[in-house]
Amino acid sequence: MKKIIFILLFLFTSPILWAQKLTASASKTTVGVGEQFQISFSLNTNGSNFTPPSLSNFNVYSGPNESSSMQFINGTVSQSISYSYILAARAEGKFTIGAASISVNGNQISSNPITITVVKGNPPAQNQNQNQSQNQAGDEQQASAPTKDIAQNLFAKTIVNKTKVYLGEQITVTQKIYTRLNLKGFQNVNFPTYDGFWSQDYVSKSQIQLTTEHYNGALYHVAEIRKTFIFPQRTGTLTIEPMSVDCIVRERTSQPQSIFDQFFGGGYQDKVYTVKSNPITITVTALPSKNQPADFSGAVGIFSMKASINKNKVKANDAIDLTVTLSGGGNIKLMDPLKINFPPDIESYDPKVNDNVSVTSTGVSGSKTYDYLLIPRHEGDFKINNISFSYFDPNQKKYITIPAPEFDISVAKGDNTPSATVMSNVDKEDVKMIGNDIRFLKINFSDMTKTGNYFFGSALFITGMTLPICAFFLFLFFRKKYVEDNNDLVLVKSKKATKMAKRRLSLAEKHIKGNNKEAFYDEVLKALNGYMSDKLSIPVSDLSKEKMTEKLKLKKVTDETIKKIVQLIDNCEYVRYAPAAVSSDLKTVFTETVKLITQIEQEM
Amino acid sequence: MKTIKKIFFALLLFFTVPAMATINQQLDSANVNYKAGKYDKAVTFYENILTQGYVAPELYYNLGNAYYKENNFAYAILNYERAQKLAPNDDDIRFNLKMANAHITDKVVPVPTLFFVQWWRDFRNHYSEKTWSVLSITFFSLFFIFLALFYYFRNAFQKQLFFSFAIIAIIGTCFTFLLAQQSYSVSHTHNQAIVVSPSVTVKSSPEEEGTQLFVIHDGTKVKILEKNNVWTEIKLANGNVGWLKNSAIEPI
Repeated sequence: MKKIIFILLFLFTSPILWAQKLTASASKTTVGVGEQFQISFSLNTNGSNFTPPSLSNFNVYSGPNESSSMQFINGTVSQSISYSYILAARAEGKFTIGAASISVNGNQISSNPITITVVKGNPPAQNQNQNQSQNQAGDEQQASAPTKDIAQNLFAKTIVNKTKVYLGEQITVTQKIYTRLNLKGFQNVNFPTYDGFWSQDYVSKSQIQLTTEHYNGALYHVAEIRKTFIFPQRTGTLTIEPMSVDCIVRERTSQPQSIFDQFFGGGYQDKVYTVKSNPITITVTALPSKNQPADFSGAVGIFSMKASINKNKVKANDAIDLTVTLSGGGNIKLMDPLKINFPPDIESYDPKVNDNVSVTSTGVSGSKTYDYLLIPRHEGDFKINNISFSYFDPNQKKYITIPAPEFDISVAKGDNTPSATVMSNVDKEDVKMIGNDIRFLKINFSDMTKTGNYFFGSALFITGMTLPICAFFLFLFFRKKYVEDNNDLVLVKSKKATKMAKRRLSLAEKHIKGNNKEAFYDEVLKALNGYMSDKLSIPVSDLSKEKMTEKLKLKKVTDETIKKIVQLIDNCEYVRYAPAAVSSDLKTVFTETVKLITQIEQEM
Repeated sequence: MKTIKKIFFALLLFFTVPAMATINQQLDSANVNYKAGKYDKAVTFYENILTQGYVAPELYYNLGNAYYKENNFAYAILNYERAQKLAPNDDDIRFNLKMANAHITDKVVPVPTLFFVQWWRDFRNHYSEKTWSVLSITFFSLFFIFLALFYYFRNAFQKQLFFSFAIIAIIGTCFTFLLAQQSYSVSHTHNQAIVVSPSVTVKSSPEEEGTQLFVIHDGTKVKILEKNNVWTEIKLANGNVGWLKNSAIEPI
């Protein structure tokens, strides 16, 4: 083939240099059995006596067809003649078409030999068609293709770019119609339902265009009728069902349909053939569980993330917008919503999600935007640092985590306007439990004891128990002694009275030592008056000897004692006027007085 | 007398202070390791203090925490239980024990105890053995004081009053003494244990050939009924009884 191009190139670029040349060329060097192809021998000048090579290995459908042309370029006349044949191979193998010769100005010129490889393929062409196509074999190859065995010339194919994928990985499915017939259109196109996949069709803006493609050694017109991107949704072996299309093929009829058809170059007939593509098995493996990030939400492909915040200094109860944009190619529509744990004291609402996903010829791509509305309810400094997004990259076969920038939010005290929000702020909040963990170490130890140190049953305990018993018996012992002492009631009473009298006469006693007679008696009188007033319930101002005697008698005090008391009081009063008349033995007077008071006490 | 006392205290300080100092150092390094996340080292330090014969509920509690962080829940439970034995009324210990028990395999539904038995237990656990003992002594002393007052007063009303007080005090004494005695026996005897082997098959008799009754796992609390050199008879909280090897359990 290269050789031919080379030769042709030579022919066209330097026609003058190589003035006379007979070139052999073939429309195909690789053909199927029964497939028609064209060979031509062209001479760039005028010649005669064309001798064709032996074409015994081929069926000659047409030829030699001679055509000649003449051109005037810059006053130079150039002339060319070509002889062409329409051939079809009979059997498989390699065949060489030998040299053709022609005489130019008496010189014999030979062409180059051509090797044709015949492969197994299209069966021999249909006869009736052949007859008609012969006339136009050169320019309308398509129509000349045999239609008897439709399967060879018109078939559908489903093509996938890979058959072993990860869960959620994108697969490109292309539905193609291969034809060598005169295809006019399609109808009743049944695309597969893609069970177990999520599919996105690529809608081409332009019309379906025919391209040419070599397939199994033959040239086909190919119509790509649909391109779909599918994402497997479960693991295991999934099957893409075949597609079926009704193709409308224009065929020449043997008899013209009508006079008009004939007139308008007709004689065609549209036939409908149903073609079905091949089913395809896809093996879907689960995503590796090893190293799977905690925030992985099923995204497979290649993604990037951007996060931004509209302000980071707010007052309490003011709203903040946090925007997180994920963009990239892959199963972006299927991703679980992004989970962000905001600080618990910041109220967050479910994000507003915006999808902007488009399907291009290379795949499904786009972006997903999450708008979070955050309302800090309390003042303070908060940090949002746990926005991260993980995806699985099927090309690198690993998980990739994109960390987002940290956002520091400082919240100032909110306006204390009596609005509803502030009112609700007054309500007490339940303490939110965020985590669950054991309580922390105890640092302050009550006391550290040696093992087996118990108080119960210890010596101290036994002592503690026996001590009250001992104390009680001691109490009983003293109590007994006390009671025994108290049995002599008279003794007790006099003891008590003496004590009392001595207490009252304590001031007088002081004057005994100084031998101050007047002061001593004065004090004794005062003490006696006080004692009597207390005992007999008579105010000191009303106290008189008569009243005293009367009361003492009522209290059953003996007359003798009363007489002694009166005398003592008289004595005390005498001292003031006649100090000599009374006894100066103060000590005796003192003991007498004490005795007297004791006696009154006992008698009363 | 005073000088003898002084000498005695000086000697006491001389012998005990250095020992206590090293214990406190070990405690500090254990706590530091715990805070640094080196739980295995913390465990070694705490265990070391225990082997030297020192005991405190906080020590067991901290050791339990270290084991918990190492995901060794059986030993965490064991140490929390030991801590709870010493300080039955500690809220932190109770909480962490509950947390650790959430991690164990066996779910043993305990046989329900009669409500007043449970009340009695809760009441007893309200104070330690020491507190009950002190209370018992206090009530006993009060009894004799009231008795003495009863003897002392002659007034009929006062006599009646103090006699009633004395009766109340002697009842209080009996009551608190009983509680003290029970607390003592509960904390003194090791009749409960925690399974420390990951999986133990409980047999019907103390021999390898015994019929396999049931399987229990680490962290489960069992009651010890009987014990010989190799085998222990245990009872689960749900009432099941069987024999297992001594090495499979660790007494509380």
